[in-house]
Order: sequence, then structure tokens, then C-alpha cells
Amino acid sequence: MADVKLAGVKKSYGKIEVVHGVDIDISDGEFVVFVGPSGCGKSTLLRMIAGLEEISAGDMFIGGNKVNDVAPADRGIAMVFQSYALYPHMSVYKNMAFGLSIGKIGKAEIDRRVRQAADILQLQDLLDRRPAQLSGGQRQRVAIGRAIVRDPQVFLFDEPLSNLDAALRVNTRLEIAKLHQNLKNTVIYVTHDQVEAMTLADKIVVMNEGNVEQIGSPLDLYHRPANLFVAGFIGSPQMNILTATVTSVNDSGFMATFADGQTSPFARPAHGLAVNDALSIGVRPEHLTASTANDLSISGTVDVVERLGDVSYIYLDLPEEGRIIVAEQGSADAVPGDQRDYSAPGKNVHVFGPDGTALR
Amino acid sequence: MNRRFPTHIIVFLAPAVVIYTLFMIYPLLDSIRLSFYSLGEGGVPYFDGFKNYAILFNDPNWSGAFWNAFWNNIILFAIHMLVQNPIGLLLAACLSLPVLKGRHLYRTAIFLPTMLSVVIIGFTWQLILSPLWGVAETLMDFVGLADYFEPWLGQKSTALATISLISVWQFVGIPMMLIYAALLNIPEDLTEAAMIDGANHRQVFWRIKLPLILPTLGIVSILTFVANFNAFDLIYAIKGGLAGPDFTTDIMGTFFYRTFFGFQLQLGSTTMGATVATIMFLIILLGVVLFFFGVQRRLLRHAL
Amino acid sequence: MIIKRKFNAGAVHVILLIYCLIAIWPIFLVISNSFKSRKWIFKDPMALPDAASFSLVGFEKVLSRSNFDLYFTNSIIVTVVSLGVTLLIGAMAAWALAGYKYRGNTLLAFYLAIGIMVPIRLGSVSIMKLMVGLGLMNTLTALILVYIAMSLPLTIFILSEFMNQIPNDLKEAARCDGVSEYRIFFQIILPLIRPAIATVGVFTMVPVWNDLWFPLILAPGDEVRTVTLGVQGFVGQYVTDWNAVLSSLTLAILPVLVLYLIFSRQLIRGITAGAVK
Repeated sequence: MADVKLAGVKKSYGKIEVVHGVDIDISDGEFVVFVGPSGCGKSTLLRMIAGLEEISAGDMFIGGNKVNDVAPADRGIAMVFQSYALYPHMSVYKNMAFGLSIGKIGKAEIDRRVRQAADILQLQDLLDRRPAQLSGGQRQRVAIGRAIVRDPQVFLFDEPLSNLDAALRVNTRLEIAKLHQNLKNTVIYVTHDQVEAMTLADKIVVMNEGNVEQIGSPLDLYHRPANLFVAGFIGSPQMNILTATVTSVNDSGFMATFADGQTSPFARPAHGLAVNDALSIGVRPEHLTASTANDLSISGTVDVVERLGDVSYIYLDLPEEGRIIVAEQGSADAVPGDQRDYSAPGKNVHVFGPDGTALR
Repeated sequence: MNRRFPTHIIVFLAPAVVIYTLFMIYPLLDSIRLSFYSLGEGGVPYFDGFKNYAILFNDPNWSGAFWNAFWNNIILFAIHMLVQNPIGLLLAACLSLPVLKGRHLYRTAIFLPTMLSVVIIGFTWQLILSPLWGVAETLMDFVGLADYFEPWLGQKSTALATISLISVWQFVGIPMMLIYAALLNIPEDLTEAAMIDGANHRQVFWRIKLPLILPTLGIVSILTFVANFNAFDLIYAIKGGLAGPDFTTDIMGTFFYRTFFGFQLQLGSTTMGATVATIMFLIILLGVVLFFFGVQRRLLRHAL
Repeated sequence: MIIKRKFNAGAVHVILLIYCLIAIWPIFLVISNSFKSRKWIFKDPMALPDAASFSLVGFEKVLSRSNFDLYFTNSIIVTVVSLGVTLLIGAMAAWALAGYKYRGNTLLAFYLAIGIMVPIRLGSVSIMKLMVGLGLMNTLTALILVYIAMSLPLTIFILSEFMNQIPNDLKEAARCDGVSEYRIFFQIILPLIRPAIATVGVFTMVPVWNDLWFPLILAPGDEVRTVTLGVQGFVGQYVTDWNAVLSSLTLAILPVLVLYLIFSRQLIRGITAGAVK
């Protein structure tokens, strides 16, 4: 079975630790996305899974076998590089056949596998061309084809869409999704783009500065972010964060005062909060509506309105708090300078404690 | 730049173009012109058509020496291609392996002989190989090959090969550097993709890296060709103008020098010297042209 | 990757080490033996000089019998002056090729580049006539002029490639400011190509310093001899005096060696940068 397990995996370069103890379980056939800002360690982690970087500490298992010291070619993986890494002096056919020709596989079998992969990816007419003669999207498909041909247990993708233009990116994203539906392989996919993560993944691993912030399904991460970082990273536009201070705590909940003086009761477990603790209150732009009937209400002055046709973004200046964004369906009638009130239901309000962890 | 007359361009170009033309291009063209002249009474040259060339190729005094020098030069070139360039390739391949400790030290050490003048190299090796000093003999004794020691530099059959190898020893750093630079240019991605595909280091080298540096190998070859057919210094330093023993180490460069300056039994002749120089020029030109149109065209420079 | 790399590393180091020894050992031998007295040179050539064998007699002979200091000075003058002039006028010509568009630009570049492949020595007959005609035989000036002509093609090629990489914006911004073309060259372009100077320096200085042919033909007189020719003559003359021979070789080697070791990093960086064309 093509499951992958990372137990306490760490990576250090000399004295500097860049990946701090990562535990991840990936089931056979799952599409897992590692996402996070530049430098968070996601690519390093992928390269450790591939065997291109040594594992400094911890254990890694692929298909139940410990692979810490196993060479990349023997791990049952195939990788699609960000730059595609196609061999410039070989034709598309030879590029895909290269790995197989190294092993002891007969020419007939190599031919069969290459043509099969070419069929899946619509590359049949390009087999004799060199990479220099292909477009970006075509090269991408050859890179994927080279991976398919190896019949790996796990597919590794390293930011495969970042070199493509916007339109091509959407198309290729769909193709990758459909490919996964057909082949049902285990996929580990690295990207810095949270849209790709949300649309493609069965499971997302959010990383930041070498740590795993949260692991969960896309909607899990969207509705129940575990901390401030995940809350701010997932969802576009970013979740609005308001500051508040705890004023009192009791058995059924706690009270907190916002920067503008407004006090609100919170009917959820206080989890060790003390008076005067600083809280971050989060609410997504799309959850703020113009009615005043809901639990969390805010009011402010309209600063800028952006109308995109299907949705409008209203930038609201809150006294003492700064600027927040409200996403309104359709064309908003708000005008800069207006005083507006918005509110959100309690279930869409996220509370984060002094250390940034979510309180539920 | 249409607004004002571009005097500044002329000012920028003039000094370089003047010196270059005056001291490189003009003398070359003049030499070629001179090859069509013969020396008459009192050393005054007169136009004589292809007479000098006829003498060079037909007169037994001349043609024997010429062809001897020519073939010796070919042997010199062959030894460089067969020994210097593969060793350079090997060393460059070793140096370009990822995470190699001491890389800088190796590079510095191997490139050192190239920095030194040929005179130094020539005499150093003469001393080492000299039977009087016995150093080479002692070393060979260490590996049990003492019986094979001979005064190679002094023997007709081995002198040319020995000098060629000394030249290889000195200059291996250059192809090594050029190939090393080309290998560095290959993106790390390709090596990694090949490793994931299952290739070991040797397979990566032969099937991925080598094909991609073929253009550089081509350049190295043609540079070797030009340098070898222009060579002179080492042989002159070790053997003097007579390129002994018995002209076995005579190459085009030394032949040219002797023709032009003269030696014991023969007066120097500027016109014959010019003729030899022109022939050398044609040989080199032919080699370069053949190379660029025959070989380099087919070695596509792949966009990496 | 991990396992395979460790295995290969051993073999690779052995290969490199063997060749390093082959490369360095002859030179080491010469230097070490030049500090020995004659009998010890023959008795035990491989050993390092020790209290018994140490002797400076070879050096004394060299310095007293020949004008080594003069030869050094000559070599330095010729090399430094030709390098300096080549860099200046080469940079100017490279800028004329790289910084401006006009008809004949490509042809001019090609004309100047021919010299890279064509050996200047082939025109020696005429060069000598020219020098005789100009009254420059047996002068350092003759050498300098020839070496400048010899070094210009490659210098111009390397520098113009480098200048092509300077972003156009810089050049245009300066022109918009109304700065004169000469000032643009001297105050903006020249400082920007400093990295390329290392590359050019290597490809130019070494062949000039080590050249035997032109000093032999154009400046054989003792007052204008370069180190290379001087060593050659000295060794030829005292060929059986091993002390003197070894010492003169060492004197010729040491300055180059010292400079090389000091600048080796820049040098190698310069070569690899220039080789990527």
C-alpha cells in the first residue's frame, strides 16, 4: 500500500534547524497538499520524502518500509519539479523512457508504458519533439508523463503550476485533479498558493517556519482554523482580526472588551483564560452581513469599495481598530464616507487566545 | 545617436583598432604577401609568384623538413587530444560532484602548472627526467619499474612523445576549467530528476551531463588544435632551435623559427619564413573552418 | 543518494589527490632542492633541505652572475603596462561595440574577434620589419605594443559580453540626464565592469609574463630581457651548474606562485565566469 508516514522528522543544516519535528500520516490514495509561505520548509520536507535531502532526525516510512537511508530511485516515488527538469537533449519519448531504460526493462515494455502515459496526457503527437520546441503547458505534461511511466507508489509535485500563466494554471489544475481521480495514486503536492491547496487537496498540511500549524481537510481548515496563522493563511481575502481584552471569566464563558470599548459576552469554554489576557477575534469578510441581528456587530466608515461584478469588497475603517474588509455579494451600494453597520453570527466568530491558538 | 555626429564612437574605437590592425592584422597580411617574394641581389625582395611554395614542397632540402615538422605536429595534437582532454574531463567531472570537500584546494593545485612559464616547466622536467640526477629513475624504482627507465628526452623514438606529455602536464588545467564551468552550468534539477529516475553517478555523467557539454568539448578541441599548431616555446626551451634529437621534436613553430632566423648551416630567409608562416596560417584556418562548419553546427547548444 | 554519494567520495578524492601530487610535486622538488648544496642535490634529491644540506650558494651565483632584478623589472613593466593599456582601450572599444547601434557594428566586432583564433606569431616576419623600421628593436616598447595587439581581441570580446548585460535602463537614464558620452563611459560603465577585470586579467597577464617568443625575437638584448628569456638564457648557459640552475628556476617560480596563491580565488572565479560564454 502506498501510505506515507513521517514521525518526528527534523532537518538541520549544520547548527540551524529548519524543520522542527514533523508528524504526518498520509493514507493510500490521498491527495495531500503541503502549503505555506516561502521558507516554511514545505519544499525541504518534500525533498526529504523524495530522498534528495538527508533526514537529520526522525523516521520516514513509505508503504510501510522505513526509507531514511534508501536511495530516491528505490523509494517508489516519482517527482514533478517546479522547473520540469526535462532533459534538453532528449525527445519527449526518450525523456519519459529514460528512467525505464536505466533499469532492466525490455524495449517492448518501455514502449507500452510510454505510449500509455502519452495517451493519458494527450502527448501522442509530441513524442518526437525536443523540450525546447514545446510550450510551458506541454512541458508540464511531459514532466507528469515521466512520473507516471515509473508507476510510482507516491507522486510528488513541487510547485508545478508556478511557472504557468494564470489561465493555463486553472486548466492544468483541473487536469491534475482529474488525473488523480483516474489513477487514484497517493499524491503529495507542494504549493504556496492556498487556492490550489483548497481546490485539489483531500488533506492540507499548513506549515510555517518549519512547524506544522495544522493538518485537516480544506473545509476543516476553513471553518475551524487551529490558530491565527492558519486563519490568516486560508481564505481570500484574509480573515479580519480584531483585538479584545478579557474582562471577566465564569463557568459558562467570558466577557471581553474590544478596542472601541464595546463589551461582548462569549458563551464558550474559557480554557484557562485570565482577566486582562489579550484576545484576537476573527471573522471572515464573507460572513459579515448588513443586518444588525447577529451576535458580533461592528460599525465603521467606508474607506474604499472594490466592485468585481459578482462580489464587492468594502474596506471599512473601524475607530480604534483599523481597517477590515467586508465581502458583499453583487454590487454594493456603499459609498466612501458612509457609516455602515455589519454583524456576524456567533458560529462564524473565531476566538484566538494570547498565544494565537483557537478557543472552541 | 543621429542627432550629433558620433565622434565619441570613433574616439572609443580608434586606439584599439589602430594598434590591433597595425601590429596584428597588417603584419599577418604582409607576411602572406611576402611569401610571394624571393630575395634577390643584396637582399632586395622581388615578386616571384608561387616559387617559394614550390620550393617548400618540391625541393628535397625543404619538403622533407616541412613534412617532418607537420607530422610531428599532428602527433603532438593527437597526444593532447587523447591524453590532455580526457584527463581534463575526468578531473572536471570529479570536481563538479556535489558537496566535494576541498574543491578549491584541488582546483588551485591542479591549475598551478598552467600559471608557470614554459621555460620553467621545460627545465624542471628536463632535470627530473635526467639520468644524471636520477630522480625519475628512483621514483620508478619505488613502483618496481626501474628497468623501464630510459633517457626518454634524449632518444629519437621517445623525445616527441615525452615533450608532448610534459605539455599535457602543464596545460591540463585549461580544458579542466572550461569543462568544469560548463558542468556547473547544468541545472541541479536535471541531476536530481535523473537520480530519481534511478541513474547512479556514472550514468548521470555519461547520459545527461556529457551530451549537454558537447559544445564545450568542441571548443576545447579547436582551442587545442590552434594552440598545438602554434606551439614553440616548450620545445625551444628544452631542445633549442634545432629541435633534436635529429629533428624528431621539430614542429611547425620551431620549423618556422629556424627558417626565419636561420641556424648553423643555413641563413635565415624572411621570404621563406613568411611562406612557412602562411602555410601555418592556412592549416589553422582550415582546421577552424572545418570545425565550425562540420562539427559545431551539429552540436546544438541546448537551451538549459 | 545518501549512500551512493558516500561511496563515490572516497574514489573521487583518490583520483584528485593523485593528480594533485603529479601537478605539484615537480615544482616542489625544484624549490626544495634549490636550497641545498650541490652534493646534497645529487645525494638525496627527494629529501627536504635540513641543517646539513641547506645552502644558498645557488642563489648567490644567480644573483651575482646575471641581472635577475633587471629582468624582473622588465617583465613587470611590460606586463603591467600592456595590461593597463589593453584594459583601457579594450574597454573603450568594447563599449563602442556594446553600447551603441550603428551600421557595421557587427562587422567590426567580427573583425576584432578574428584575432582570438589567429596566432599573432605568424606575422612575426613583418612585425620585426615594422619594429626595425620604427626603430623599436630591442625595446620594451616593442614588446608592449605587440602584447597589447595580442591581448585586445579576447579582452574586447569578454568585456563587450559583460557590457551587454548591463541593463539598458542604466544607460538610458544617464543619457536622459544629458551626461556626455565620455562621462557615461568613465563614471558609469567602467566601475560596473570591475568583476570582468579579473577574468581579463587572468587571460592577459599569464601569457604575457610567460611568453618566450617575442622577447626572443624583438628584445633579446640583456638590458631589455624579460624574466622568461633571462631564465632560459641563464639555464642554457650554466646547464651543468645545478645549483645555479635550480635557484634561477626557483626565483622565477616564487613570485608567480605567491601571487597565484594570494589571488587564486578571484582568479578561478574569473576563469569560470569568462568560460561561460
